[in-house]
Amino acid sequence: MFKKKLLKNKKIFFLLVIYTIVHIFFCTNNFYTYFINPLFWLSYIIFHYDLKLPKKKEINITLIISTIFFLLYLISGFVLSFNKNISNCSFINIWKVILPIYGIEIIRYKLIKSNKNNSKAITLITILIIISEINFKELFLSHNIILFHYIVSIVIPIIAQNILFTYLSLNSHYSISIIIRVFNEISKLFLPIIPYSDWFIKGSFSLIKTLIIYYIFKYYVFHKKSIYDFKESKKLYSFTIITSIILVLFMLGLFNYKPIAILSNSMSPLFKRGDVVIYKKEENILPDDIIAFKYENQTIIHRVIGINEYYVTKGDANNTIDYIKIKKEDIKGVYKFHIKYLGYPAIWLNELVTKEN
Amino acid sequence: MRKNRIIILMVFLATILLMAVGYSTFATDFTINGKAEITGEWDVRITNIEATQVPDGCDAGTPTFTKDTINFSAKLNKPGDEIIYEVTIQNLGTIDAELQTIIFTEEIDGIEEINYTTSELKKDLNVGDSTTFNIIVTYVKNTEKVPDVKTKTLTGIIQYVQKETA
Repeated sequence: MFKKKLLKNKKIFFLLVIYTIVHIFFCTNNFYTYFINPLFWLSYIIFHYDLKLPKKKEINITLIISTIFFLLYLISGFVLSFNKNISNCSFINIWKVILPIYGIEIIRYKLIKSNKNNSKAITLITILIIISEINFKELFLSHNIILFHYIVSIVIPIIAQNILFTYLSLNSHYSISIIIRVFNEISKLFLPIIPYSDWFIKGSFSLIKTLIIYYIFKYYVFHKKSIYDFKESKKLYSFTIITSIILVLFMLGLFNYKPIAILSNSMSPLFKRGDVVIYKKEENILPDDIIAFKYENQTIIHRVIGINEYYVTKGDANNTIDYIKIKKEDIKGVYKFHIKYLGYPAIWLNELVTKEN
Repeated sequence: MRKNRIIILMVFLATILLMAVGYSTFATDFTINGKAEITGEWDVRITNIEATQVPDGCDAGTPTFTKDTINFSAKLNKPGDEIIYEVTIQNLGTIDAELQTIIFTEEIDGIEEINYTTSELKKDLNVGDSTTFNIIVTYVKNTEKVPDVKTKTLTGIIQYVQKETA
């Protein structure tokens, strides 16, 4: 049955497979990304463009949601600070990015619509598209920590968004996915400055945004559920989304308090390896305070034993002082309390990721 | 369908939690020296001090040193005499170092006729590097005063710290 369904769109499916294979080998080649790939999709769009549009309500809701998320993204810059985006901000990127998005969504739509009763085929199509959007050079050549960052900030959002776009194609028109995707790319393509976002911000907010869009379309646009089911879903989704947002904001330190997992016993017996310390941003640092400070992209939590031009620190269980010049701007906060054993998952992850480095 | 919904939300929450754990992991506390979890060994030390030039009638004494201090008493005879001490410092650890301070204190202040200078001390001392510098104790040539004490006793503290990376 699976084979029979695919055979209906054998040519398009074959095209997708070829495209995915070519992408794996040439995704880092500039001639391919700036010339061959967009040109290929341009020719495909010209021959397969579908003038039929989805319902007006669906378009309107998509535009409203996308605009709200775009504005929230811009406003977040005032909280998180802004970064320059000069290197990415260029019209050539419209050619490079928008055309493949347009083409791939047409292919997804055609394949999914014709295989809508075949879940295995839908899964396979979605996986192929996910593969076609991942940069495999980053996956195979990176240091383990960078690889983890790449998976969180790029790969997981790509997977989540593609599941959403497949769902939207199944229930509506490809233009819905295109609008959402184009709004996602607008900031990178046109804005000379964009809000600061590290790998965690990118990954977590992209995932939360995807769930919100899915929830809105499923329960407010497509109306797939009964009233009872709708109420229950509303509670569950609201709880999950709000919990996730609070967790992410807490991790980012936006409530002035920030957690950190402890990897060593240098402050034993106060707190030990595997504990989680909560520290708070404070201006007035005094001797005997336990401070969290930046050092080479790491955070160290040790006790202040003296203050002169720099802050002199020492781990309670250490024999010697830290040979580090700590300036006021390096200090991230002052220890407030700790939670025992909560940091072990972080330690296991750290051991896993840094194992071969 | 209810089961599917629960699975979707559980997978979602698990992914967010994994990201949060990862974020916490890569901003973790670590120790650069101490009893536990040593990621690098700090071992910058003075390994030698010797008098390389001692004029006749002068006495360089027996210079001593610890890991980061030196001590010597230079006894000079007449104006123009110079005793040169050569100090060797080595980075035997696994952490690059840079000079932070070098401070000398005199046991008896105010012997103006006998002064001291030091040659330039190498600022960066990377892992495996060794450096030497000279301390030159001089009896000022054209002095009319003859000091009661012709011995200069100096203690020097040389402190290197972990090199700041750019």
